[in-house]
Amino acid sequence: MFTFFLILVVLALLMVLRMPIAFAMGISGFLGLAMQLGMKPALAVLERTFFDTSSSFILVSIPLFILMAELLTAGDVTRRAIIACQNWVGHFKGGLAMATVAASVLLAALVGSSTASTAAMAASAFPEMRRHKYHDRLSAAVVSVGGTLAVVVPPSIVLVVYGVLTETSIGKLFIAGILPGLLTAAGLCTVIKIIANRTDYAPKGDPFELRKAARSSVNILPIALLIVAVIGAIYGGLTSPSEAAALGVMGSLIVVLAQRTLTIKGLGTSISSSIRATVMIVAIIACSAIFSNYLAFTRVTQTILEFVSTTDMSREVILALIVLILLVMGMFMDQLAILSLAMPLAFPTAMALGYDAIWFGIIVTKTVEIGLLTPPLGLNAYVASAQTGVPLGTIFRGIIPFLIMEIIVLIGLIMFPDITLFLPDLMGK
Amino acid sequence: AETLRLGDFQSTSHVVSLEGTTRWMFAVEQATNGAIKFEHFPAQQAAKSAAQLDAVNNGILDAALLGTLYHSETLPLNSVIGLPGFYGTAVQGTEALQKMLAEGPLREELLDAGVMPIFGFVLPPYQVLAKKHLGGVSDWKALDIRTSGSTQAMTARALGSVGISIPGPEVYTAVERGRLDGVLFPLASVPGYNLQEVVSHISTNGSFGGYSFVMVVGRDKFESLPADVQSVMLEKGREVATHVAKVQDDSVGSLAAEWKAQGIEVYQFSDAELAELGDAMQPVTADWMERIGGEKAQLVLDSYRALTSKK
Amino acid sequence: MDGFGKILQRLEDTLHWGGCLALVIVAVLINADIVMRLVAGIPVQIQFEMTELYLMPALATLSLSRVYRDGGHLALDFMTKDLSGLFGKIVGRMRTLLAGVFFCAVTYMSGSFALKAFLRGEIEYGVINWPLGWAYAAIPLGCGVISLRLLYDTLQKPAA
Ligand code: NA
Ligand code: NA
Repeated sequence: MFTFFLILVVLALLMVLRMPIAFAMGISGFLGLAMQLGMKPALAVLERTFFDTSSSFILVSIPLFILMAELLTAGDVTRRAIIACQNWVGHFKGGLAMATVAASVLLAALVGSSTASTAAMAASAFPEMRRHKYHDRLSAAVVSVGGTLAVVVPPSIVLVVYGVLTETSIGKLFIAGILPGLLTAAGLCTVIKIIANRTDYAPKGDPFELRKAARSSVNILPIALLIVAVIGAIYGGLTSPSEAAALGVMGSLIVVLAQRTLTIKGLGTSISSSIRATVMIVAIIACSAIFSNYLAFTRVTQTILEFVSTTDMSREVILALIVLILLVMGMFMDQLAILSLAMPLAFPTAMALGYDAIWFGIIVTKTVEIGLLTPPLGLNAYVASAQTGVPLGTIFRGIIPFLIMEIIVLIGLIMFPDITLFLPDLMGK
Repeated sequence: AETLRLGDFQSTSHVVSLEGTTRWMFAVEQATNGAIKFEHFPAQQAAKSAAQLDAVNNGILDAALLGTLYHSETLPLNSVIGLPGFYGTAVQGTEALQKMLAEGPLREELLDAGVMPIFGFVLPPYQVLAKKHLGGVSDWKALDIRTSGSTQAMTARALGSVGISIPGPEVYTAVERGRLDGVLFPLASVPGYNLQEVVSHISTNGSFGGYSFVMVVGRDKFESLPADVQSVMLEKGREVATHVAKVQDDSVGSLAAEWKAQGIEVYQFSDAELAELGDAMQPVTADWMERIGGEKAQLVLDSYRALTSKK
Repeated sequence: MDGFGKILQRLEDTLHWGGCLALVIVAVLINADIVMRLVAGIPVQIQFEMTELYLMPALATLSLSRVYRDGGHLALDFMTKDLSGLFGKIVGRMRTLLAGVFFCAVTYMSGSFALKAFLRGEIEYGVINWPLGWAYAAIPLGCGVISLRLLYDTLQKPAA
């Protein structure tokens, strides 16, 4: 236990002294492994962690969706589309931010990975909000929080992994995610509305003119077509979800070439920036794998969960503790690592207490998704910061009101299981 | 008391873990009166599937449940179990594997790789799950079949289909949406991925390849253990291997009944269809032989064929 | 800038374009697969293994150092204001040194792992025989250059 706290202190210290987050997690994880297992095994972990983490077909959607967004932005497609949205809803305070939320929901129906979605929105919607004098703190936070919708709204990698780890119906999990996803989106819009009314973060645009709005609507068409094509390719059985991202890249390229709005230089910059974002993300995933590896060997999670599951506390208290543990793990670890560490104990405990497996899956997913927004390891905030250049501190501060909303939604989902189970129950047993 | 770190890539809810790994650890702990204890790292917590063998050799782990097909580079002879058309049930395949692990090239290969094989068992043979009834070879033409690994991809090609690689977590969506026409899958793992929700036809007596697990302990570690502990590990291993094979065969039976009740067509190939499929899949074995080469491979193949042809 | 610094920069840029090229190939391969399937009914079978084994590790790690040079690896910036003075200098140097040593270890370990695969001629059987050494090689390459960069920065640049 002493070593464990020592390692946590080292991690915190490295981060405070502004060591890049990836490096800090790698170094402290390595030190932990060396103290726990010895030097030779700790070094051996370094042999293939980077390869094992990066050689994954599922990750391919991250660079590809970022590239798609970069191309559309470089080719002026997103700006025109957002101006069109602006013409429709810009006369509301916060209208553009809400349009971003709506776009995030659409994107979430394509993408199963939160980071890919955040990166895409940060590359496309953020610059437009900035152009319309939205405060960076709000815009970057909206982009980060909107990205988390991708893991609740189907398809979702996190739900699939939960389904596989716990042998729960993936189909039902997907259906169950829809209402909580929409509820989260509604919560997001509410917070935006409140912020817009109280501050000048989300200023009103030009007054509404039907003719102008209608005329600019044609600029929404390319993106709408692209989204229909990509969703169509997945749901029509043409491609697997990861492959659809590549289709999106080709579609975006066709759109910007047809519009003659992309320069060769723009193409090069788009590719270069998506590599830059991908390298940063994968470095964090790989290094946090070293750290999770260390956490696995300390058996801290198991010890705590075992303790929780063997006490005679009421089932509500135990559930609250499980959620709390997951929230804390979410501060330090990647979502999939949390599931693989915690589910072997948390799931049987929840089942023994008589909770519903589908409902528990949504609660768990929602909880680990909140972890994407909390420091020190808050992957969505990192991605948004890398893409937009807004300092991390500003983003984390901007996220706070949304985080409160997320917690309220989570509590709502816990107190009213019907919100989650209504749709899957309609499907029948 | 000595605590061994045991790595495992399966999740604890999988039948292989419940009736195999966990059961064996418990049996050894009991029989040694706690002199040996295990720390279990399931679901790739300690090392990725393909890194389990290295992890034992590097001292990250003391023991591991290997999926031998993940290690076909280091354990080429052991990949024989992946070939289609050999064993018909998990019990039959496990008996054959246990014999080959007791002595001969499969055992030597593991010892050379630095690990002591304790016991091995197989999954029931891979079956085909599809959205239509797949019988003889003509039904398979030009279908997109999800396969995992090169041997299975070749099996699909030998049947006239296309072998498609899609990551496990995406198989469900790909089948549901029709990207895939069918999937070669071990039936015991079907509930884990809920594939029964998205297919309408499941075969039960095909043999589209096998899969073997071998529980290993690092050689040095094993040799450092007292003789009575060693023999307890081996003895409990034999019991658990037989047990987990039987449980899997039984569970295939009950799963089939369950699926039938859900309106899925659970079917058997006729003898004529089996013979036709078997003939078509011959080149897969020939290719394996050619690729691995050498006397040992022939020896392994011959003894595997002899051990699995007995009814 | 001295000669070594220039060479290092050249190296980083080259690897970065290597990473970009890998991404382009991924996009082209997957689309070729989809189009060929749709039009001719013939999939591009090497697509999956090529992407997973070679292109993903390459595009994810070759640019590690270039991204570092551009300040692309995120650090927390809201807990401490700019560290200045002697203390800040020492912290800055310790930071690059520690990270440099860490990446040296990763380079050495992943490098010997790749070397072993080359020497033993390790192959992954698939649609074609994939030499694993080349798949593993991207990691020590990317990590090696970032180790050089970090150590170079420790010795050269007046720390921030
Ligand atoms: Na999604
Ligand atoms: Na977090």
